Amino acid sequence: MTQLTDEDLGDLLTEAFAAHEHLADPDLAVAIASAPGRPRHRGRVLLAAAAAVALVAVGTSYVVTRGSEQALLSDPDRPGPTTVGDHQPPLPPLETDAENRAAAVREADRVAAVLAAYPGAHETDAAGVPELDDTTLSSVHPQGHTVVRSRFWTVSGATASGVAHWYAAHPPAGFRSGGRNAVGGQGDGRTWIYEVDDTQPGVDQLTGSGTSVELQTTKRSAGVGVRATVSTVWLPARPVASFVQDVSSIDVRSTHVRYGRQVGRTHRSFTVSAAADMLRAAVAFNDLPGMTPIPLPCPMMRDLYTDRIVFHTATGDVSAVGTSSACGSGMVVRRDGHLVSPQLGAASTLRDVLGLHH
Amino acid sequence: MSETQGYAALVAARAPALLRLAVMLTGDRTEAEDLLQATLLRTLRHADRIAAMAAPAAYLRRALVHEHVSGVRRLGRRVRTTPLEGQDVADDQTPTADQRDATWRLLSTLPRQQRAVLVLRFYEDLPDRDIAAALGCSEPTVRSNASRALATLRTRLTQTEEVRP
Repeated sequence: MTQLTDEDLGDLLTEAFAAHEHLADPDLAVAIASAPGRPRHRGRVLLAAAAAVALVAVGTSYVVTRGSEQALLSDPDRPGPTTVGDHQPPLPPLETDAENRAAAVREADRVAAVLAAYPGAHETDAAGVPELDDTTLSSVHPQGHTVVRSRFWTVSGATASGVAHWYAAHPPAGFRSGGRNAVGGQGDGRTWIYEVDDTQPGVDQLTGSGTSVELQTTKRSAGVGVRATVSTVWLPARPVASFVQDVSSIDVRSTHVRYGRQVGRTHRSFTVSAAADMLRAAVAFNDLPGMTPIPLPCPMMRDLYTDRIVFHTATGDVSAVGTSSACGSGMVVRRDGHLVSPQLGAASTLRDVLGLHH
Repeated sequence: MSETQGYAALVAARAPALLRLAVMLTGDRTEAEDLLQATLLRTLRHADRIAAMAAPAAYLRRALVHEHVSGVRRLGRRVRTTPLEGQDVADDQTPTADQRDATWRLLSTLPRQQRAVLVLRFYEDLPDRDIAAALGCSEPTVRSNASRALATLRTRLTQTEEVRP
């Protein structure tokens, strides 16, 4: 044959690379770069400076799904529990973003209204405490999915530390602050801001949902400035196309990577075909909440699981690809190859049902 | 936006391109995903510093290439001589497509550093100066590796042609 020149080889290589670009799934790349998680607080992170940082996607745009909604719902305009014919499992109550956001607004308003005030404090507005503007907030929440309400006070005859400890001992009803040890802080070399974080016990923090309160106090030229910031995160609603019914089989491929002095990898592949097992997996999958990834500082993860779960259903294939680690989990969903937003959180529950313990 | 957020946004934006590069370097979908994950885990430790860099994307690319090439020191060279399992091969039976697929398979037989040079030159379209920076070697070393890699491919492609019925 004719001897290939370097230029010929270069062209061949360029073609060979281009022909295999499709092996790199861009959405899976984003999922790998994402570690879904709960709101975190910079003050605590600073105290744990030795910890490494895990990273997260700040949002992904998705193609609007098409497909089998009509086959799944008799009346797609009317959300609610759906049991069309003998389809199994029945769909969970459908949510909408507008409803979820409205509920978050109500909750943020409610919590802001019942915040305790330090004895003798004088309520003011943001202009009354310019030292505690928005740039000083430590909490990180999903952009576009958080309702924020703030209140401000000034206090005379007290120290900023003393006021912060008082707030740590008086969290709003239904919240906890961790007591006296909960007071953290941040400084820029000139001023110091004390911080107290109040969270709700029992809230599923892996999905980043729920309400938190960030309390800040700082010394002023006269007295103490106080800011209370209520943040309520609302979860994106799942569209009908992201649910599964009438599953005929489930293909699972899972990879476990353990990081340490040496990196260890194990792979598992299997197919679920028993009716009861498929139904349990479908119910678990349909129960996963929508999720909005956020930047998340977290300790270095030791184990990382990457799963590809494909539900073969009467109305097409639904795949869920995602990662799980100590920092959280998330899944990207496709129906018949088309992306369906949002990503799903708390994927570890589905992993448990599928027995994905390497 | 904080530096951590800036790094998160950077990684989210660059992840698809990094994964494509990882596929070219490894020749394997799963290994590429592992490589990307390992690289991100390693770079997380320097998130704030990277976010403040003038060319953070180039740093991430360099980290990915280094992670891949250094793997040969940890694990020893693995040579793949069989078609890649479970991966798509073009149906097109034209000679060009055959050569292209043969080239892709033969890439897996090259030492990692040589393959990395070819990927950075012919896929990333980088000049030798940038390839040298990404690999942490000199430009003459880049040219030497490229020359050897192309010579190997030329020989093996010729052998492939000769044995094909």
